[in-house]
Amino acid sequence: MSSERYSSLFSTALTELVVRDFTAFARLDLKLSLGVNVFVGANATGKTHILKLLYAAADITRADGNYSDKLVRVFLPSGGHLGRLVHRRRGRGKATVTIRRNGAQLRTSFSTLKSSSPQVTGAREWNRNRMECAYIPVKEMLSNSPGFISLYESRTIHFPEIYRDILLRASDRPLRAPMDRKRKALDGIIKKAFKGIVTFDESGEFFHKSREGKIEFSLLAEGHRKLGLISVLVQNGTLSSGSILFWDEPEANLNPNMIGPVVEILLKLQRVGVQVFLATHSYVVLKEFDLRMKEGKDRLTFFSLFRNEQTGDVEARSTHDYLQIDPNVIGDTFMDLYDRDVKRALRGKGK
Amino acid sequence: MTSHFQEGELYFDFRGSLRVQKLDEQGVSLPHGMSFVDFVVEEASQQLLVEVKDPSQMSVAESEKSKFARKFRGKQLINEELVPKCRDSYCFLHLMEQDTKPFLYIVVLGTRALPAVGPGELLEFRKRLLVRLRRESDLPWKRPYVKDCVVLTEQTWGAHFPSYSLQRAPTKTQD
Repeated sequence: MSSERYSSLFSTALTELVVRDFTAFARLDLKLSLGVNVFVGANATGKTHILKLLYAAADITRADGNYSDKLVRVFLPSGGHLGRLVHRRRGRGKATVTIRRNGAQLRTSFSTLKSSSPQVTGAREWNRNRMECAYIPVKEMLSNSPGFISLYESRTIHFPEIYRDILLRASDRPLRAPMDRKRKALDGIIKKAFKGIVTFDESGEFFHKSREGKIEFSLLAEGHRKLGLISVLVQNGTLSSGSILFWDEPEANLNPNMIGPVVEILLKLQRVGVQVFLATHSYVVLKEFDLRMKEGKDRLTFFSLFRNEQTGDVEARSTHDYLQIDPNVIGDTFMDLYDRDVKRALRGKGK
Repeated sequence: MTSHFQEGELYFDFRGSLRVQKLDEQGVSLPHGMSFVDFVVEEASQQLLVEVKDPSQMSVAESEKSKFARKFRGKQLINEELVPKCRDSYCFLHLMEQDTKPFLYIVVLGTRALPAVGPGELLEFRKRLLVRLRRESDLPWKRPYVKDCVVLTEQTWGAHFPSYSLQRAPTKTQD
């Protein structure tokens, strides 16, 4: 695909994230891939925080929303005080988050002082172009759909808004317009992996429909429910050229033999113009991307998040090459397993 | 007795071992239909059956390297090459009354031609190799003729056999 054609597919894509003194990060400058962005790192290195920061920025464009308000609903800091998300140091502190895309910049800053209000700049220009997006959390939600949205809207429940949002996206009816050739092919691959289609009734209950009949989503394996969700999002146009998918730990509850098809679907989504952000702990996810990505056709950046031993702050390194991910906590863990496996065999205590 | 041995572009120094044999040394008549590992390294308490698979050699064509990668991921390399060589070597040594110490099967992979192979794949490959060494037909062998197997690469050899060096011949530069 030519660079020009590729860029036009991603005209609304997020291009840069700059963070100062936010949660685990003292300083973070990320150039984002227009294609697939994969975040790896040990627990508590802020992978999900990055996904949420970016998602909130994309989501507010759908209804001219306020970024700092959205951050409160997505991160749920105690008392709704964004200052609690400022990187912890002695004394007062102030966080700033800047997100860029083609021709627009959204910036927010907030401090630990409870008396000061969060500042947001660039929102008008930012919200001018609507960005379709979906955030798939680690916990599958479709099976909990009936009544959840109304409960969320009417009562104070301690659920990040991403859970409500994904149910709203999934509840959108399929597009009336016929799918183009590429999306149709993609839809076929997903249906094949999912072995059926997804339907839902007026009460918001989702079903898996196949030749064998209709099965409640709650009775399906959680891994299959995730594929069903992707299928719905493609059918209703949430995932189409120019939209953004955020997926936190796609491997959760998925048998490793299903990860290959999922990665193939993600690469195909990227090829039709969907920008993808993933956080993963899975060796199989990384290797599947490494083995399935096509040089010159796919755009993929791996971000390795790690804690600086001296400062304790989380930093990031990026690479387009799987072999160059450094540090690679997932690969290192497998290397350690391999080493111990060899040592056991050499000691004569193997199995 | 020399301790230096070469297999393709890889140079081994088994200094400190009791004895090193090349079963298929050129000029020596061998039993028909048998294939052997590259080296048998005798130590005080065990014998290492060392087999080198090195598609990384400069002289190997890219098509051959791709073919090897397919064999590595499928069953062919284990079922048709690595296990028969180990089994035949054991049979030969047994018939020669040289099976007085337990055998450990060491496979050395030149992974420069297999850049996508990581520790996860090596773990799984070793498991599949051991399973096949134990059972090649409907019934498993009654005798576990090798006590275990390990799969090493040029990069991981040194950590597990620090007393035996392994080096690749330097790349020739054009004048």
